[in-house]
Amino acid sequence: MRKLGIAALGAVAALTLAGCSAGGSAEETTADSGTITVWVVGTDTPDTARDYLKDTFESENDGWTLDIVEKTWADVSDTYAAALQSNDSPDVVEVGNTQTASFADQGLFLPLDDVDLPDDFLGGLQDSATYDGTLYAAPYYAGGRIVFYSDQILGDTVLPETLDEYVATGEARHTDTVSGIYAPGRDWYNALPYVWAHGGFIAEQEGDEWKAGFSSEGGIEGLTQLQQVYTNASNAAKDGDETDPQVPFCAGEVVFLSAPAWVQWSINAPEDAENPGCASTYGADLNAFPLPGLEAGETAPIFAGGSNMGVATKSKSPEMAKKALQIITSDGYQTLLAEGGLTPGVESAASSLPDTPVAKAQATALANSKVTPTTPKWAEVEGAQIIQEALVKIANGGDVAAIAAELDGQIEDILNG
Amino acid sequence: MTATLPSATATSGSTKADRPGRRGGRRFPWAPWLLLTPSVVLLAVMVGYPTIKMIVTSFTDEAIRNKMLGTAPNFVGFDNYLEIFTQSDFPAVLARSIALMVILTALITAGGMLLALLMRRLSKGWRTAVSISLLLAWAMPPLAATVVFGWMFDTKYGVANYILNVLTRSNDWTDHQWLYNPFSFFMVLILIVTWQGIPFAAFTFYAGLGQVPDEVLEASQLDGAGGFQRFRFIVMPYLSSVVTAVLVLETIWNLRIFTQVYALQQRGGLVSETNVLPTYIFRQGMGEFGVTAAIGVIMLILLMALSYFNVRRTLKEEAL
Repeated sequence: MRKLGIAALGAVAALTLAGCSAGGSAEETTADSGTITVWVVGTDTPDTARDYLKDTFESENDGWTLDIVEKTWADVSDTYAAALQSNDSPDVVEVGNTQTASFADQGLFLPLDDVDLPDDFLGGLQDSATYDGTLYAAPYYAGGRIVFYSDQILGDTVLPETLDEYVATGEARHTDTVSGIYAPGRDWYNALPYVWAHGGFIAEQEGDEWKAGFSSEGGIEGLTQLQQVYTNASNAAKDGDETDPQVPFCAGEVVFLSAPAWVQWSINAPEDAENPGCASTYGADLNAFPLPGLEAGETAPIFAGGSNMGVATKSKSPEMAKKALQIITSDGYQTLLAEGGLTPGVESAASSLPDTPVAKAQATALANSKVTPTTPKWAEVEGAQIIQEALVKIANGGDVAAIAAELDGQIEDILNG
Repeated sequence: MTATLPSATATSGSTKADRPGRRGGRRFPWAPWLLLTPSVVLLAVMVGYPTIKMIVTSFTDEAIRNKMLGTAPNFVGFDNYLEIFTQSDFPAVLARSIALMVILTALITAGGMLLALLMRRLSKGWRTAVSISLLLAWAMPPLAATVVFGWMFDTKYGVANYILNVLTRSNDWTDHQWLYNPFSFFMVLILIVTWQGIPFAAFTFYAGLGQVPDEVLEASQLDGAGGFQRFRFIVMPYLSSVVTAVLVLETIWNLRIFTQVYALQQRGGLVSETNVLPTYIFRQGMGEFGVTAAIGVIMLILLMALSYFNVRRTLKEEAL
């Protein structure tokens, strides 16, 4: 038995050493040919842009090919982390803007200060991609939530000019079957504007400590107004999430639908599509406006969703990966994104946005937008789902002040932990 | 050789001729160990190395960044364990996991036994029908099953709310949120896991019941033993090793249940009030290997302690 134990230990030691040596041998090679793999998330990136990237890269770099792989948002935490630290890592990857800091903090992205990139990136996205004063990812595109409505359902109702009017209209139009404002409890991105508009905040850094602000005066006011929406204006599931909002909208059960701009494609899908929309009914006269703020003429601060593109530390050919990133941030590519209705990460390409009410509403809304706290620990707050939980409790009629105070405690525990 | 072992040659000359290499009982038995080598190596690689690595990691602050930058993690002693037990909701999660495991194991074992006894009594046609339906439940991927049950208990469109509305002739159950209340969340969860867990227990017990000799049962019946007495004093002793095996497996499976809890949490439900150990580990920060390894070590110790008595009893019985 003893000998066996020694043999087992020897095997373990050999394996450990082998593991170490394999890990240390990732050296940079500047070969004449190879493949660059780019991961994009979801179907947002239009096909025109994908083709442009592949063709441009391959014609500029003889012998090189570029593959685009489509991942889902569910992959972007753990699947990404596993792939990016493996020896089979992709070269350029799209990540959510709120997750970028944590990837940079773990050393999964190369710093980009030696790459020649445009200098007119969208401010909010650039902040989210900057960690410790260094840019670790290139802003890709931004998306904001806007309020959709169909004239057939809206009827004679006047469009609201302030946030209070918006809530009041939602309550007035609410019936047993129709939501004045569609507000599922777990949709936390849509809850943030209420908090921000009233002067509340998620968390702010005071010296070395993070201080959470849902229980600040403005935070409580915002959450109280949100509770009013949940109870008096919405029929959405109080513990439901924001997926597939086109289902109730197409059933004619929603007056105001606050959702990401791309939801227009879900609503405008044909009735017999795999994911059916209502192109011929409520989609036909789909319109949108930016969520109004406290005063007439201003908008409420919305959450700036979006993506950044980073270069993997473990990329076999980082120089070529950076060249691909330069194409992605070039005017030619970003213009194609803009034409697809995405707010481009490079501001100079924004002029190519289509002239539709949805695109205009989104551009106006994004002009007043905020992001989640830029700290690597933020990903853990999202992973723990504590904000969604607090909102579900509020939607179920809980005591706003107590719930907000508890939430702030949890957020501070994680951010300062 | 003969000079060193004079007594052996003297007492057993014939043995020496048959097995010239034998030197008393002291020679290392190469053959059996050689035969064991592949499995030992496999175990060392697949089980031994990860386990040791996990235990070592649990005493460090290792993170992805150590691997990426090639730096060694810091040794932090028992800090990870202290943090788990004092600064987090881990004790509550642990208690919840164990309670859930006990309830699930009891329900699955009892339900499986009842179904196995029923199958012994059924005619051939009915038995086939029951077997097939059990197999279907067992073969269904847990994720698919959870998604289907999730729809049944959906807040807006669920069939459970609809049926309850029809039965009570009211609208009380419209928009009832089954997953919001942790108690009903766990009721739904227990329903899913038990539904999928019973087939395995039932089939195993059914196979075990076939081993109980009919003569003994008949003899006890002639002696006047009732149905329950026969089960308790004749069937159970014959089945005890099978029951132990099922209990050990169910204990382990039910303590590391992940898919069903995670999928239900994604549909609704308050994560912090419904986390069990595996989902709790999963929801730790990205790449915080030290803390997650420490939780893993605690789970390992727990499972070994729970299985120890059962396994020891089985081994003892087999030795008899």
